[in-house]
Amino acid sequence: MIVRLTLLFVAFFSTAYGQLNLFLGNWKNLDPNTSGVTYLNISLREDNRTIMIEAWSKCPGKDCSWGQVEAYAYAPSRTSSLGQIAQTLSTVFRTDTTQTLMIVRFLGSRLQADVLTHFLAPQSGRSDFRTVYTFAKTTPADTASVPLTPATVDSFINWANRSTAASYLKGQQEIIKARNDTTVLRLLFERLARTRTNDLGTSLITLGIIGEMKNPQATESLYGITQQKSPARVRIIDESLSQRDMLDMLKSKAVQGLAYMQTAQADTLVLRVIQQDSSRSVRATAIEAFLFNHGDSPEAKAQLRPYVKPEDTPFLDRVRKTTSVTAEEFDAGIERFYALHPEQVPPDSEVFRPSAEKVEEVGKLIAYLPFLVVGLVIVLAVIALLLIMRKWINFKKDSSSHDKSDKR
Amino acid sequence: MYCVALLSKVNPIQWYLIMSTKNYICLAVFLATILLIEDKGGWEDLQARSNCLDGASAEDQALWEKVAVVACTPAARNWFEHAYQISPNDWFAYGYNDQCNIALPYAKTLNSAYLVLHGLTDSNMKWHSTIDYRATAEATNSLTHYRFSYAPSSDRSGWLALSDFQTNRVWLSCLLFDFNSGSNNPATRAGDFMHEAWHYWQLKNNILPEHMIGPVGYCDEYGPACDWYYPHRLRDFQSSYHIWLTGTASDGRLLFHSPNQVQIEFLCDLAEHAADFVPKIVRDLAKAEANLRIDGKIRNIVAYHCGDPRPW
Repeated sequence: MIVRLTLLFVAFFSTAYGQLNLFLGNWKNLDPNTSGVTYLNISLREDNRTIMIEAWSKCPGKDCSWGQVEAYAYAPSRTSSLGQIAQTLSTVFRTDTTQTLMIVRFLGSRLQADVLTHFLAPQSGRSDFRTVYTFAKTTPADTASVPLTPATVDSFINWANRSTAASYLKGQQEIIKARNDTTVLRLLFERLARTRTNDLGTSLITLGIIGEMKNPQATESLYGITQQKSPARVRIIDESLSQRDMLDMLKSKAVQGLAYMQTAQADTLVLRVIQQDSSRSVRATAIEAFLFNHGDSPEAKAQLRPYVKPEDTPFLDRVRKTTSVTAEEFDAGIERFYALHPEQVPPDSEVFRPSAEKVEEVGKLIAYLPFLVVGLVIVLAVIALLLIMRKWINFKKDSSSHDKSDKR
Repeated sequence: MYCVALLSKVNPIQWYLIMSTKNYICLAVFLATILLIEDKGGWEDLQARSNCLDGASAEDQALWEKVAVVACTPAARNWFEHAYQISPNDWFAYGYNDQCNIALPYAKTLNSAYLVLHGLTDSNMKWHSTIDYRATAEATNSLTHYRFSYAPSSDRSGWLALSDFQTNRVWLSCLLFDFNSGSNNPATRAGDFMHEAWHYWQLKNNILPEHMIGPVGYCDEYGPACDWYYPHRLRDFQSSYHIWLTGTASDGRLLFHSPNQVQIEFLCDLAEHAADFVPKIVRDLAKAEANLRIDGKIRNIVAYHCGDPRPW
């Protein structure tokens, strides 16, 4: 009985604790009429350890962001494993006039936030106060877009990562507003430097933001990314994405931003990439990006041709698969490409049949066949000879024993 | 065997209470196990560790935040384990008992499976329908291939996924799950489902399930990793023409794919025709990877690039 009660006790608590990952995400206040905290976003920084909380509160027009701050997780005991049984988070938001302590608890599918606001300078008629809010999980489409300012660069990237296709224009507008902000640009590059080696997705998003800003001051840095030395190719088996592949994806994204500048300096650098980059995928992206940003015109193609390696010239005739073309237009483009480049259609011999390598293996087997046949014949001949010799020996034995019996 | 079976289930403490057994030997085993586990840091700690470097990528987090409400349920787990033929023995050390922990391989694989199941729209601009992609990626017996199972591997030698016909498995290496790996994201994993499952299509259709050895043509890889891209039009695989067909149709259209081709077409569809809940970080990565594979893993030049090259 005592054992059962003990086990019940342990079982209950083993399911009541929240794992840290269950805190992560976007949370909406269940009270739509709240005048306080409306949304929370809880995430991990790119180091996968530092917890970040961002909060929004009700403001005239649209919600105001309190900014994104570091938070701390608490386990039930000193020896517990924090990542798996985090019970509570806490953080502090600071303004010029207030200091707000937020304690967040996970309650099954809900979050409860205890928000304690302290006024730094005492004022008559105003007391420090406590409010409790309850949140439910929500999707980022419900959250307000974050402005792109020096104070909100990380928040914007965080929002951009999670944004849906419906929020595309909202994000674009925020980026365009920040176009001339060199501090934002610097902070974006700093963020990129931190994520480049361990967070490919966020790095691509960050490069996308930088490119979309279309700020000429980013030209040299974007070109610098395309000039990074690629690791040597290594032998791979079947399915793989190497470090070289990851770098190529970043370089391709950087050259897209470069081409989008549409300045003489940036175009010169794009042409240099087309002419000199060791990676075919980066060259192909550069060609496509140049044409895209010059209206896909015949003049742009003519301008490109002297820079394009001979083996890359079919890239000039490629089509683009986007949501802005119809299926008929796309299919017509495909057919046009293969009419221009019939050598790019696999030969019939490469369909439904073994590859050339297998044929070579079979060929080797066939080449050795005569030797195998001869060997087999020899073996059979030896066996036959032995059988004949045995019969002859037995015959001789039988003959000599018969002679002896006759003589008796 | 009863003790072992119980130990392999989620929270054996609860199982014991439910079963209300008088098997005192098992009770002794449980108590000994609990004491041992507590000494190592607790049952939750043991459940949460895996043979890979645990940790959720930004892509997995962003997607999981949207799908966990539905995917992190017993019903979803049952579907996933059947559809992907998940064996407890294979996945025990990879988060099997911690279904909702997106830092672990099990939940990450579930995340990717959900992307295949619900991650695409119904657009007729897609290369293939969700029906076709599900029939490919899911491991049960289908019109695309015979049954196999997905299993994790602690290998980090370089390959991401591997079809093993001798054990009837598709192995998913730790490079698809390690927190510091660029391949630790749901789009790459889902693309690998397509690629490896397509080898089983080749096997079913008596087509040599191997790649060409590169570098060859426009494929720059060293080793057995190159494929042809067999061009087809968007409308060639609409309506009754499904991806699992092989041969030449009466109107001359070629019904044939290579593994890298199926992977590219899926990633491109995910980039351009994702369901609204799919976050941008997943879509953008799918687009980048599709175009990288178009230009690096295919022997002939593919006629298109995926998406437009605008930065945002």
